[in-house]
Amino acid sequence: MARSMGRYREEIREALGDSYLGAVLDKFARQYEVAREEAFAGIDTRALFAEIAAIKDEALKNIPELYETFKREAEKRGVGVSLARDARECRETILKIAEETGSRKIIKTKSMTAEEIGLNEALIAGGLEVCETDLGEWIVQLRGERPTHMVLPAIHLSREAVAETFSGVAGTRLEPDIEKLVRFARRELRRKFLEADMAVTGANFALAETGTLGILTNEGNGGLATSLPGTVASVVGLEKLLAGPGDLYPILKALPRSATAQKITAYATFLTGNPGFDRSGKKRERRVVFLDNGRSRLLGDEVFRSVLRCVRCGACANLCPVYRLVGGRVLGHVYVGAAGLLFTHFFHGADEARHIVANCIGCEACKDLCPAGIDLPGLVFDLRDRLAREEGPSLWSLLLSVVLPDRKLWHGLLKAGRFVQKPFARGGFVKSVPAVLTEEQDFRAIPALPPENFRELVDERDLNGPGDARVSIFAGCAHEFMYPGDLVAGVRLLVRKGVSVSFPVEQACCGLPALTLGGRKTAAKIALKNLEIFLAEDTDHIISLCPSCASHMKNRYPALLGDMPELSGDLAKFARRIVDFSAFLFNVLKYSKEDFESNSEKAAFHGSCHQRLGLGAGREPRELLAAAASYVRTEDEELCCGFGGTYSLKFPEISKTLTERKLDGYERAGASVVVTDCPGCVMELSGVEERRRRKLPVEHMAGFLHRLLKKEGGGK
Amino acid sequence: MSETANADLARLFAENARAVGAGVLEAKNLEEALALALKVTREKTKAPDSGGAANAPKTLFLADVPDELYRRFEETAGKEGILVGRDLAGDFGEGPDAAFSVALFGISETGTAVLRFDSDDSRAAALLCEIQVVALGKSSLVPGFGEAEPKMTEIMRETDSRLVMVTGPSRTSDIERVLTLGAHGPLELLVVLTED
Repeated sequence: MARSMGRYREEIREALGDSYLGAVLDKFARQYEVAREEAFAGIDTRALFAEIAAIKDEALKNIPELYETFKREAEKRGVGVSLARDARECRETILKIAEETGSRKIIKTKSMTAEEIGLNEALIAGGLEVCETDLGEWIVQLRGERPTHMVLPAIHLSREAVAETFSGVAGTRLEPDIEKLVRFARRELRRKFLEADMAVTGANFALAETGTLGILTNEGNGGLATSLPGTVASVVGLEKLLAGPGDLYPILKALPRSATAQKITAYATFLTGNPGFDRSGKKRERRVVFLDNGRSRLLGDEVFRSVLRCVRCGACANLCPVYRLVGGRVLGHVYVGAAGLLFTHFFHGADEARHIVANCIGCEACKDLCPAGIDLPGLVFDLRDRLAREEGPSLWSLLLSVVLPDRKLWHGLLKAGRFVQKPFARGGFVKSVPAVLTEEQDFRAIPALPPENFRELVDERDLNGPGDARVSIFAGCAHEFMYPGDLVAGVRLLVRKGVSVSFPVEQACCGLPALTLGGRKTAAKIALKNLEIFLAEDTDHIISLCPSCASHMKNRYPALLGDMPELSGDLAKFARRIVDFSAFLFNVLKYSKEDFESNSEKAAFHGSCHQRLGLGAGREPRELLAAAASYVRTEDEELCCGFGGTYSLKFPEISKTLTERKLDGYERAGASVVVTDCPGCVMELSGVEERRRRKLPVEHMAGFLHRLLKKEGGGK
Repeated sequence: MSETANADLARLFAENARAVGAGVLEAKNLEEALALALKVTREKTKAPDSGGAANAPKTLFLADVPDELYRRFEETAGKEGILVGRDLAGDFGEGPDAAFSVALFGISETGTAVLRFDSDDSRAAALLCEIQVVALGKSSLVPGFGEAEPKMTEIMRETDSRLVMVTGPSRTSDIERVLTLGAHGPLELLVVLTED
C-alpha cells in the first residue's frame, strides 16, 4: 500500500536522524562529483549525450519492430524470447521456466527490472531458493531490505552493519574489516554459483540485429551467472532494445563514467546464441523475457517518452541535494533519484509516486548530468502539471492561477501585506510565524516587507538614461517587494558604467511558482505576457537579479509556449537577451578591483542552483567577490540552500537541515559575510541564521557590491 | 600500422590497464606468455580462505590454446606438479588458481582486453580463478571503441559467441564505497603483451 504523507514525513525524519546515512551520502556526492568530472575529461559531453539521446529516441520509435527482430535473431540462435505485458505475467513466466527446467536453486545478478516486478518474493513464494549475487544486493537481501541506490544498493549500510549481517550467516562473529567481509561473501556466494540450477539476470543492452544481450558488471557475477548454471533467464525492460551493435559504443562510453566514474566496467559481456550442451550432455536453456509493464503506454506518451532513454546510471541521484541527505528509501520506491521518481509514477502508479514527486526541490542539479540527455527537472514539472489536471489542482495552485497573472491584484495583495504585518515586524523580520504557516516553518524568520516597493523606491533619474548598452530589468516578486533596496543597488551598478536601464511597468511574476505547483497553464499565460512586454522594449539585454526568474524565463518559456510555433523566433530572441547579472557586470561592464574601496570583508559565496545550472554563471560572481573584497573559498559553495520556493513549505525538515549545514560551513570558514545572487537564497539563509540567533550576515551580490563601491560619480 | 604507432598504443594500453589495477608484462610470443602463466601459478600462494586443501596441487586452466601447445605445456607443468586443464571438472571444479586465455585484441584507450571464449567453461574459468593471465598481441591493439566496433560487431553476428571486454581484475565498492579487488572474479589480472 502506498505511503501516507504522514508516514512519508516520518520516514524523512528517520532518515535525517540517521547520521551514518547522511555522512556517507554526502561524502559519496563530493567524491563522485570530482571523479565524474575527471572521467569525462577531454570528452565533449554535450555532443556525446546528444548522440545517446538520438540513438535511444530512434530505438524508442521502433520498439515493436526491434522486439520482433531480436526475437527472430535470438530464436534462430537457440534462445527463447517472450514478452511479458505486466509484472504478474513476467513473474509467472520466470516461475514457469524454473518449473520446466526443474530448477530449484536460483542465483540472481543485479536487475532493477526484477526489483520492479518484485520477482524475488514471487520466486520464494513459489518454493524456490533465491540468492542475490551482487555483493550489495546480497547484503540487502540478507537484511530483508530494498536497494537504496541503482548502482550501490547497500550504500546506506556501514561495515559494522554488514559484519553483523554476515556474522548471522557465518554463525560466528566476523570483524568489520571490508576486505575480509568481501572474501567471506566471495566464498559463500561461490558455493551458490556452483550449486545453482538457474540464473536470473538483467541486461544493460539488447541488440536486435544480432539477438545479443550485453551485461556490465564489476564484480564478475554477471559472467559467472551466465556461464555456470544450465538455465539462464534474463529479464529485460523493452527500453533496453537497441537496433544493433553499432549503437552500443556511445552508451558504453558514457554509462560507466556516469555511474561509477570508470572509463569502462571491469567486465562487459556480450552473449549471442545458445552455447548448446554442457559437459554432462544436458541441453542449456537460454531465455530472454522482455518486460512491458507500462512501457508501451509511456512510448505513446509524447511528453514523457524520453524517460525511457534512461540507462540506469544513478547520476541523477548522486548529486541531488535531497537524495544526499535522505537517501533512496525516501527519494524513491524501487527506482531512485529524479529518473526514479518518474519511473515510480509510470511503473508503480500515482499513489506510490505522489510524495516523492513533491520531494523534488527543483534545483536542476540533475539536468546536465543525465548521459541520455533527459530533461529531468522539466519532466518533473510536467508530471506535477499532469497530476494537478488529473486529480484537481491544490488550493495553492488554484490561488496562484487567479492571482499571479493579474499584476494589479497580485501587487495589491503584496502591498496589503505590508500593513497587515506592521504590528509584527521587528529588525527587518516578522516576529512570529504568519498564521498561514505551521509551527514547523518556524525554523526560518520571515523577512518583513519594507515600507516601499521597488517602484516607489527607485529614483526615476536612474531609469532610461542615455547609456550605450540598453538593459531591461525584470524585477521578480522578491526584489520588487521584499528586497527593493538590492534591486535599486543593482540598477545603480549598471547605470554607473553607462548602461541605460529601463523598467517595463506592466511586468509581474515570472510564473515559476505556478509551474512548481503544477499550474502549467497559468505559467504559460504569464510567459506569453512577459514575452510581449519585453520584446516591445527592444533593448539589448534583459537582466533579473533573481537567477530563478531569469533561468525560468530563458529556459522554460520556449517549452511552455511550445504549442505556438509562430512564437519560436521571438522566444529565441527573448532567451538570447536574458543574461546573468554578475556575468554582465564582470564580462561586459568590466567591474574590477579599481571600482571598490579597500575593506576587510571576508566574503563567502553561495552559488544559487539556477544561476549555475540555468544561466551557466559560476566563475563571474566569484571574480566579482575577489575584486570587491577578500573572497573566502568554502566547501559546497554551489550546494542548494534548501529553499526551493514552495518546497520549503512542504518539507521544512529537509529545507532546515540543508540550510543549517550550509551556514555551519560558512561559519567554520570564518566568513564575515555570505554573498549570493539570488533573493530566495538570501531569504532562506538569512532567515534561518536569524532564527538560530547567529550573526552571519547574508547579502545579495548587488547590495554587497554597491555598498563597497568607491564613492564617486554615480556611486552611493 | 607503423612500429612507432604500435609502441605508442602498447604504452597507452599498459598505462590504462595499470591504472585499473592490472599487471602488464611483455613476452616475445604465445609460448613465452604461457611460460609466464606457469610461473605465476607456481609462485602463487594459496589464499588462506580460498577453499580446498592447502597441499592440493596448483591448477592452471588453459582456455582455447592450440592442441599441440596445450599438450606440451601439460607435460612441462606436470613435471612441476602443476595440473593443467581445459574443462571445469575435478580439481578445477571450484575454480583454478590461474586461468590463461588469448585475447582477440586490445583497446588502448581503456586498457581493455577483448576475449572471445569458445565455451562457457572457459568463460567461467577466467572468472573463477584467482589470477587471470591474458596474452595480448601488440599488433592487435586498437586506439578506442571506434576501431573496436567493427571487430566486435562481426563476431556478434555469428550464431553463437561469447565476447568479454576485461578491464582490470574483479572489483567491488559495495561496502562503504571502499574499492576492494577480487569480488567474485580474479583477485589479479595479468596482461602479457606479446610481439607476435
